[in-house]
Amino acid sequence: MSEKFVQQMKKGVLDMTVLKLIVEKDTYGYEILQELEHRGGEFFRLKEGTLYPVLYRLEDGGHICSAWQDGEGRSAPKKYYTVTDKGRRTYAQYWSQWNEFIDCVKCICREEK
Amino acid sequence: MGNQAEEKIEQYIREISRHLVIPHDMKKRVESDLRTDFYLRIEAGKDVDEVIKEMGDPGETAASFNEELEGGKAATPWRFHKIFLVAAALALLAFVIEFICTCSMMRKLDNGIAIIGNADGNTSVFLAGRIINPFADILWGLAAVLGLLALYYLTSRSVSYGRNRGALLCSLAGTLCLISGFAAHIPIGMAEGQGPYGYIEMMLNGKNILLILLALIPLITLALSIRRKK
Repeated sequence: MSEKFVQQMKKGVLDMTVLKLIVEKDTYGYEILQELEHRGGEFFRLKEGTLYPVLYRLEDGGHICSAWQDGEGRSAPKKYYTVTDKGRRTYAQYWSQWNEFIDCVKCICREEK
Repeated sequence: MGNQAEEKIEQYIREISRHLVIPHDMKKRVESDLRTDFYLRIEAGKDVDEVIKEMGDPGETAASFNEELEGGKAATPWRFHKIFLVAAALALLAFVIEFICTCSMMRKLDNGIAIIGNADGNTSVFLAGRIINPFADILWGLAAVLGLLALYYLTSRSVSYGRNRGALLCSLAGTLCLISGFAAHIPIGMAEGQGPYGYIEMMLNGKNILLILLALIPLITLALSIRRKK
């Protein structure tokens, strides 16, 4: 598997995939890392250095907002991310454009009959 | 968790932070999130060394943040943006000294001492007018200082994360001082019978040109701050 090719593709979809997880439910950074790996396998085994800049970009762009919540008992407080209305609209746009893009790529790359 | 483990965690985060080339507030954001994730991994049952191995080499982690946050490209090197802060401090010092000297001159005027022995009537009135109203020059001086501070704020922030509230406030205040400075000089011109525009024409010479050019900085930084905010 070409590492560079995978990295480039991952970079292109990271905003969309992270936003999708936050659209599904309010969540925090470490949980997002775990969920991405659980659902995306090896392709989406990320580290904080890759995930958090995406979260910062989404938050600064107004697509998500964050709030600290105290942990239960002696658990550490967590910064939960919540999607905004703008974030929902953006995700819908990303998903639509992604499907169009996939169709185009398949059209170009399909084997000649 | 013992003190030794906590110290190890803090040392790891400090090591990452040391390699980060991003604005200070962004750095604090990263440190806070990394610390949280570290403790959440510990809560999940992992030990400190395991977590450090999982989170990766501090230099590599920092490099990833720098690349994604454009720290290497957009962040201004230390020496460059601090120059404006130093310039603002020096400008403030210069204008404070000028103010003190001017007040001293005013006291001498009150005692009836002539400024220039062979000055003709118009020159004497001009100088007296300049000296009687040192506050107008101070306003321009303040405008220059605030403009330099605004430049410091503008250049000390990453372009991508341009929270330039400081730059905007300094620019607004500086612009107000600039306008006030011009407005404060107009009555002097009127009193001398030159009219406001005639007096402004007289002001545009020698030292005054430098002062006015410096005082125009807030106008430029205001435009830059508004443009970046968009």
